[in-house]
Amino acid sequence: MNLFRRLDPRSKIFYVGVVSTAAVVFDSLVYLSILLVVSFAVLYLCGGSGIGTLYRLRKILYLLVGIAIVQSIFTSEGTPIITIGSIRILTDYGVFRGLQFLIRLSVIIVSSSILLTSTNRDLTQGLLQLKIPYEIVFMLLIAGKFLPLLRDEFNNKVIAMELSGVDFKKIGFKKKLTAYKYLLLPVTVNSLLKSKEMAISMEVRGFRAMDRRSSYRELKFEKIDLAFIISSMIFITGLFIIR
Amino acid sequence: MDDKFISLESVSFSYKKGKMVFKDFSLSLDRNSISIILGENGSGKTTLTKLIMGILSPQKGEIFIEGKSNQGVSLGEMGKSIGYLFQNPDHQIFGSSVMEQLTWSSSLVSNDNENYHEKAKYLLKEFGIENIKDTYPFYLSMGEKRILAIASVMMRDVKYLIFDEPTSSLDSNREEVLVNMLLNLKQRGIGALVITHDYDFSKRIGQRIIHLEDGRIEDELI
Repeated sequence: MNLFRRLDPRSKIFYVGVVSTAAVVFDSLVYLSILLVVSFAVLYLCGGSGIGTLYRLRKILYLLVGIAIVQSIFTSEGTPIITIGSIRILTDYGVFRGLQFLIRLSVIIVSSSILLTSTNRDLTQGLLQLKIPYEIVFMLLIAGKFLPLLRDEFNNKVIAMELSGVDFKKIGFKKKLTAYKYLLLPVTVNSLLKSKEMAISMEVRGFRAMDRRSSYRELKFEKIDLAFIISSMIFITGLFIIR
Repeated sequence: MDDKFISLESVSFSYKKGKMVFKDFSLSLDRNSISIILGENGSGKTTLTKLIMGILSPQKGEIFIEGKSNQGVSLGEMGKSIGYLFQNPDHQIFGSSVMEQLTWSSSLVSNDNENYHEKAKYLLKEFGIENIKDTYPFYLSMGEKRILAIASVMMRDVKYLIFDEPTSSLDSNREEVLVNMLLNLKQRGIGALVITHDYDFSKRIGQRIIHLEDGRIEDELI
């Protein structure tokens, strides 16, 4: 189990690419389910928590389930399961399409979560060693760190707004919209001001002062990485052959 | 009428994966007096105000506002009776001009348009920020933002005030205005709990000075 925790971020990026591509290509619910089970297993072995990931994404999951239900309802092909008069409300093909959408997206989300088991620093270094331009890697790194800050700021703003006597449950719809306007404006402006400050701070620390940036710490590809990549390849190719 | 406005009874609180901030902590604050809380960073001052306001919930014990538990009271309801000043003034700035900042919440919760505009004009003058009334608040200095946040809290007719470090980055003139305003409000029966590191400021306004250390009252001057 410890071996998986030592995986190079580049191996994980490769795995995510392969599994996500397979999830898009496969149509069969059986193969998509196999991919989902394997994704959960690999995430667990790498030290992540599949349940924790799903819990964190619970609000999005409600949306996904909602979309899957809507997709099921609006697909008219197949054998009707529920009908009202001559109108087909739900068909077996609709249910299949809804489930397909749900499992496919779950595979992509769960397999991508393996990247979160690496530290930001390792992930950045991995992308750099994959020859991705430093500016782009740094943007990704900042985005990863910036989003939780943005969420905290938004939460603080909502609390401050409520403590100003604005009770969201008691004000009317029109006033609620106005309140959201007051909420979004400062969050947007603060984000822009923060990014400006960060840009200045990076400039004064010599970001892009040289054409090439070297790193004190370099990632090394080990045997476990090679074994992981080959196993992933064999697994996905095997599924492609037998499907 | 009971003099106690806020009382904390055997409150225990710790942050997730953090050490215990308060353990069996009890404190009562009178409605028409100014209480000061002094203490080092991390002693639990801001946490205490957040517990009172209901932003955080204690794991044990209860907090009463005017004799009623604050559990289940919405932040909106709480904000109507207690004016709260955040440590970071940016949190409570919403308007796109200084004037709008003073009037936005009243425009949402009050129908008395003329009255709150008059009050806003009075506060602009009182705090010496009339000249910047059309300025975008995000371009103000930290001191100006803080005074604007204080003025915004003063806009509402609250029964009690909780100010978290109101004097940091304020110049002496504005600090003087704040002192006079707090003392004036006290005369009208509106008390306050003020968290500060400024001992001189505490001595000028506080009837009760509480020194907090590691979540317990280390010393108290009345």
